[in-house]
Amino acid sequence: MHKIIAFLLISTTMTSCFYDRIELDYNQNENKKVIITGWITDLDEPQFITIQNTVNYLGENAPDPISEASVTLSDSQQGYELSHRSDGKYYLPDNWVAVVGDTYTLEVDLDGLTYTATHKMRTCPSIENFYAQEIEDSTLTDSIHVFETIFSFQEIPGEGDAYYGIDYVAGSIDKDTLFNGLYTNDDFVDGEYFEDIEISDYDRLFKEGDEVVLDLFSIGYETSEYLLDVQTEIFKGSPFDTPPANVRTNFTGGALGYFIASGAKRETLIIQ
Amino acid sequence: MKTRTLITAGIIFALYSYGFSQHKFTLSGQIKDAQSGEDLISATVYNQEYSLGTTSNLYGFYSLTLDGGSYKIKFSYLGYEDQIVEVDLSKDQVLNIELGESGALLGEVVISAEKEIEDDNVESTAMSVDKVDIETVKKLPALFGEVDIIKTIQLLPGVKSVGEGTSGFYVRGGNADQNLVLLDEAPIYNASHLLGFFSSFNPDAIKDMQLYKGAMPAIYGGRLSSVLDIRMKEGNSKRFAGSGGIGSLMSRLALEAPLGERGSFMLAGRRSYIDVMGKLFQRIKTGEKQDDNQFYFYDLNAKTNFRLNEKNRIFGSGYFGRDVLAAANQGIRVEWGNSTSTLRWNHIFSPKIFSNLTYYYSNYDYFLDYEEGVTKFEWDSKLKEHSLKADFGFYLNPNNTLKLGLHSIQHNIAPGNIKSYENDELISEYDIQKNKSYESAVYISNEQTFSDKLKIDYGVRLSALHNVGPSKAFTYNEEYEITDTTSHTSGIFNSYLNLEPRVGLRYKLGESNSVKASYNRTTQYIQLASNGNSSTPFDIWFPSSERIKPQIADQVALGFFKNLNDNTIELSSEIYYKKFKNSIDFKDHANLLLNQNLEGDLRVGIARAYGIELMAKKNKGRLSGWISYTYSKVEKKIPTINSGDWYNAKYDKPHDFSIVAAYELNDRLSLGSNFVYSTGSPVTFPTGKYTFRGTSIPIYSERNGARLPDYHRLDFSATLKSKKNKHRRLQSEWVFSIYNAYNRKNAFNITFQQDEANPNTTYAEKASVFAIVPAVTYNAKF
Repeated sequence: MHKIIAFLLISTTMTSCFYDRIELDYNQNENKKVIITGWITDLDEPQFITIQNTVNYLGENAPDPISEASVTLSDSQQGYELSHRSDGKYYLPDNWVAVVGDTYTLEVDLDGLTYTATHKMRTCPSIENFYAQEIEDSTLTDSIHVFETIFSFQEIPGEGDAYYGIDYVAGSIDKDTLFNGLYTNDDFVDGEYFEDIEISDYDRLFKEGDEVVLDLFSIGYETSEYLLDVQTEIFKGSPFDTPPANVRTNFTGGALGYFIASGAKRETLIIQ
Repeated sequence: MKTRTLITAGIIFALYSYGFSQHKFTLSGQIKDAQSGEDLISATVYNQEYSLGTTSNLYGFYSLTLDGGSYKIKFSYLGYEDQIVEVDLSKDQVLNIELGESGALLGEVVISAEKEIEDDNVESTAMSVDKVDIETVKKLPALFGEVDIIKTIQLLPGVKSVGEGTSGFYVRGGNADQNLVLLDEAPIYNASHLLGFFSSFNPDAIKDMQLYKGAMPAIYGGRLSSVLDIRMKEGNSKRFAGSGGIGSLMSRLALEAPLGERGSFMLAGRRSYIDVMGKLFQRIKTGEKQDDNQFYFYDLNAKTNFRLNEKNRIFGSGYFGRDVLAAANQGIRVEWGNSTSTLRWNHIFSPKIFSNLTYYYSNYDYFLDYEEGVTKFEWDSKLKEHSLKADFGFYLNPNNTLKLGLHSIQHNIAPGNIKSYENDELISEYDIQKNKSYESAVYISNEQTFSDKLKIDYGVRLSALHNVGPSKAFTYNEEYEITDTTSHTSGIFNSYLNLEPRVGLRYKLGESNSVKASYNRTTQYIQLASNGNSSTPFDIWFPSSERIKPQIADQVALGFFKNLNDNTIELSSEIYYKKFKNSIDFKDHANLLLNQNLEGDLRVGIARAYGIELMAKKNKGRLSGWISYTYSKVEKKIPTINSGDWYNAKYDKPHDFSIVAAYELNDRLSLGSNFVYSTGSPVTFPTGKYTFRGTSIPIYSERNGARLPDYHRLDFSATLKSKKNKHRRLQSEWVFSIYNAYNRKNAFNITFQQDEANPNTTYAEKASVFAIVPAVTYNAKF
C-alpha cells in the first residue's frame, strides 16, 4: 500500500514541484512537558528508562535530560528503585530479575508530581529456523554478495499479542532506531505459525562475515498501536495523511512518552 | 414552530387568493436564445406600468397572470437585447420569445429594443446566490489555459479553496462534501479530474450554473452548505454548430444540431494528454523510450431534447468521465470516474401549471490493481444512486408563485471489495459492509409579493432517511470500543425525519437599494469520509445510521444591496452566522482506508461559521468583473479532538480577497486578469519533540493552530479573435495565459526534515506545486 501511496503522491505533483528550506516563526515548546520512555525486557543486559523534557521541534536541539526524579519499578511482589547514571537514564539494580507474565508498574516522582504507567511483560515465543539468505536482486546487490535474515515463530494463541523484531550487526547502533525493526499484531492471525518472516531492511543488508543478531519482543497489542501512531506521525507526506496529532501515552499524571515491558528472545548467526 | 406556522398560513393565503382570480388571463410561453434556440433561464418578464413581473424557470418557461387589458411586456436577459411586446390580454395567450445578443431581433411583435440592465440584484428575494456566466468564465485566465468553472467559483466571496490548483471548494464554513454539485439534476460525487487539478465540467457543454451559498430554495436538499446547479446545453436547434479547442494539456470538441423541427442534440468530449507529452519530452531529453505509464482523463457529455407537442417536452442527458493512472513497471493501475444519466419530462398542465418529472442515475466508482510477482491485489468501490423527482410550479398570479414537489433517492454504497490472488488463484477476499438507504423529501414554497417594497419567499422541506438491511451495526461504549453487534435483516431498521424551514425576504429602501434577510435549515444524510486536504480518488461516502445522526445546519443571513450607475454596478454585502449540529470529524490517527469499523473512528460534535462578504460587480461595458472581500471564521468542537476545545477547521481562511477583470480592447482583442489573496490554510505544526530509541517524535499543542504562509497570485490572459468575415462561419481565437505571473511559490504544504549532517537539527521545508505557468490554447467554433 505504501508503494501505491507514494506512486499517487508523485503523480499528484508530477506537473512540477519545488522544495525550499524555509525559516518558520511560530511558538514552540511554550509549556515544556516531561517525557518518560522505557523498554525493559528479560534479556540479560542493563535495563533502564529515560526521563527528559520536550525540546523545540525546529532547529538544533539536543535532548534535555532530567536527573532529579525518583523512579520505582514494581512487579506484583516488590518494588525496585532505579538510579540515575547519566543523560536522564535511570537503571534497574543488577539484582533485578524479570518475571515474565507479570504486570509492571513504573512510578516517577518529580517536582511533587507522580507519573505512573503499567505494562504486562508477555511471554515471547522462540525464534525458529533462523538463517540468512543471499539477495539475488541485481538492482540491490551491485556485484557484492548481500544477505537478509529469515526466521519463523509460533504466534501465541489468545488475542491481544503483538511482536516487534529487529536484526542488526552485533555491536552496531542500528538497533537503537525504532523503525529499523518491524512490528505486527495477531489481528486475523491469532495462533498461527509465522513462517519464513523477512524483516531485514534493504537499506542495511548484511555482508559475509557479519555477526547478525535478531531480537524478537512480545510487546502486546496496545504497544503495536503506539508504534503505529509514531509511524503515522514521522512518515508524513502522503495524500492520505491523517491530521497531525500527539501519539498516545500510557502514563497518567500528564507526562508523555511510553513504557514497555516485554519478554524477548535473541539469536545470533554469522553470515557465511 | 412560529416560522413553520407562518409558512403554512402564507401558503394557504396564496391558494385562497388564487380562488378569487377568475377575471384574469395568463400570458405564458418559452424564452429562448435567438441564435441557438437554447432556453434562457431566469429571463425577466416585466410590466413597468403596474410593476408586475416574473422570471423564466429552469426550462425557459414563464407564466404571468394579469387582469384583462393591454400591456407592454418587457422580456430581458443579461447580455441580450430587451424586447418590449404589446399584448392585448382578453384570453389566455401563449407567447414564445427569442432574445438575441445583437440588435437584429426576430419576430413581428418587437416594438422597441433598448439596452438596459435589470436590477435583479436589488429586486429579487434571492441572496447568497451567485450566477456566473459561462462566457465570463471563458474570458478569464486559467491554469494551463484550461477553462474551469469551479476555479472561477473559487473566486467568489464566501467560497474557499484549499491547496494550489485544486478544484474542491468550501462554502461558508462547510466541508467540500457539504456541496451538492448537480449536473442536469444528477449529483456528481467526485467533481474533479487528475487528482483534483481540473473539474469534471467541460465548458463547451455547459449552459448555465448557479451557486446557492445560503437562502436555499426548498427544492434543494441533502447537503448543508451549498448547491452548485449546472445545466448542460440542450443543443443548437437552429443549425449545425460546433466548438472545440487544443490546449497544452487537453483537447475538446463539442457538436450540436437540430433534430428536425422539434428537437436538438449536443455531444461534447475532452481528452487530456499529459502522459503522451511527458513521454515525448522524456524521449527527446534522454533519447530512450519511456515505460508504458498512463496518466490521463477523458469525459463525454451528451444531451438531447424533443418537443412532443406544445405541452410536452422530453430531455435525455448523460455524462461519463474517467481517469486512468497506471505504471506498468510497478504493476499499478488505478481508474476512477463518474457517470450520470438524466431523463426529464416537462408537462404544461395549463398556462399556470408547469411540471417536471426527473429520473436520474449517478455512479461513482474506482478500482485499484496492484501486481508484484505472482501476487495480485484488487480493490474496487462503487456508489450508485437512483432518483425520481416530481416538481410542480403554480404561477397563481403576479404576486404568488407556488412550488411543490416530491423527491426520492436510493443510495447504494459498496465501500470496498478487496481480493488477493496468487498465481491467479483467489486466496482471500475482504468485503467492507455494503449499505443501502432511501432519502426522500416533500417540499412546498411560495414567492409572494406583499407590496412594492416587501417580497417574501417562504417554504418548508420535510426530509427523511431510511436505512435498509441487511446490515450489521455495532454498539460502542464510552471509550468507543465495540461492545455488541446487531444484525439487521432486510427492511427498514432505522429512520430519521427532519423539517427544514426556508425563508427569504427583500425590503426595498428605494429605487436602487434593498435589504434582504434569510433563514434556512438544511439536513445532510450522506457524507464523505475525509481526513486530509488532498483530493484522492478513494472516496468513501457513508450514510447516517443508528449511531451517526444526520448533520443539520441553521444559517441566518442579512444583506444590503445597491445598484449604481443605472444598474451597471452591483454592490452587495452580506453577513451570516451558521450553526452545525452533529458535525463529524475523525479521531486522531483514524484509519479511513479499508476500515470495517469506520463509525468507531468518527467523533460527533458541533461547529460554527460566521462572516461578512462584500462584492462590487460590473456586468456590462468594455470592463467587466468583480472585486470581492470576505472575512470569515469556521471552528469545530468535537470530543477527544484537540482536548475537546474549539479548533479551526482545515478550510478556515479568514481573509479572502479577489479581483477579477475582463477588458475588451477592441472587437478582436480582450484581456483578462485575476488577483487572489487569502490567509494561509490552517495546519498543525509540532511545537516540541522527544526521542525514543533514536526516533524523534513530534509533540503538538493545538490542532490547526498554525498557518501556511498567506497565498497570493496574479494571472493574465489575452484573447485574440480571428478577423470578422460575414461569409465565414468558422470563428477562431488564440488564448495566451500566464498563471502565477510573478512566480510566487505558494506553499502547498510544509514538512519537517531531519538534517542528515546533524540529527539533532530539524528544519522546515516548503513544497510548492506551480511556479509561473504560461499556456497557449487555440479555440474555434462554427
